[in-house]
Amino acid sequence: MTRRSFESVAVGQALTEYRKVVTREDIAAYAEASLDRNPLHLDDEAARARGFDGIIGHGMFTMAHVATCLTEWAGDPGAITHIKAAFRAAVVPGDEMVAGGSVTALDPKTRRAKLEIWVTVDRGGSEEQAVRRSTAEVQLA
Amino acid sequence: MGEERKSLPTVRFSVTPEEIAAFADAIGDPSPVYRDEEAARAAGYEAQIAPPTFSMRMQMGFAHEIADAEGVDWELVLHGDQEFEQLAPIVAGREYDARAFEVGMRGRPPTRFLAIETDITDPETGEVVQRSRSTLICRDEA
Repeated sequence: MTRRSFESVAVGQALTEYRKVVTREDIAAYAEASLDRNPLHLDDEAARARGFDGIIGHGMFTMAHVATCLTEWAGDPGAITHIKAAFRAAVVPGDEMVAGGSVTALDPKTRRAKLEIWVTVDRGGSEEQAVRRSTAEVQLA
Repeated sequence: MGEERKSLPTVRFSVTPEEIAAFADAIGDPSPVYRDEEAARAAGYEAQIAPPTFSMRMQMGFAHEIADAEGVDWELVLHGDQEFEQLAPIVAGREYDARAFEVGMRGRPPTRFLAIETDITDPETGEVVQRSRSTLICRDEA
């Protein structure tokens, strides 16, 4: 994999969407990898006692997947210089999570691209925005 | 930033190739730069590098500690937003110092917003490799 070149990018260019149907096992694996073992993410009863219908995915689980979408586009994970996400809805097991983004600005001086990024969740035909109004910056080659 | 920051003691972490690979698996990122030393070298790095959000592993303990000190029920905490500024890669086989700062608690019960910043520094050079900022939503009731 090589880092994407500045010349190959245009404002409005879309990232290839990253789609994933989320399972309880995915959330549990993220809890271990990130060391965030809050019972809200692992134990249905604990989550219900805290106002949810069952376990919810970590905000960072969602953000990490939009970062994956970005690193795949950039061709080099080290190219991501900035990433900011606002969490607006929880992802739950069974949801199809779709991460995407598009280029909003290019700076020829620094050869960096600014992007808007998002994650939507398809829950039985209705769409929710899990991550919205979020941004990233990538250092292109 | 520019607000007064209360800091927690610095904690030193060793970053292993195994934990980087496990993290990359958990987030579905297939890049060989996380898993294969040769691929990482070919991309210009001294060894495997960590995914952009990897440092959550180093930060979780801080967030928990600050929330506890503020009398917040950790199990009711939700993540509001998160920001990372990456200045240099986090590389397998190296050590890093993580230092968290409590930037402030805003709002009033039952919902308050706790802002935490964390700097990850390369102890060999003293340079910050990643700065991050989290807002945690602290609820007093479900």
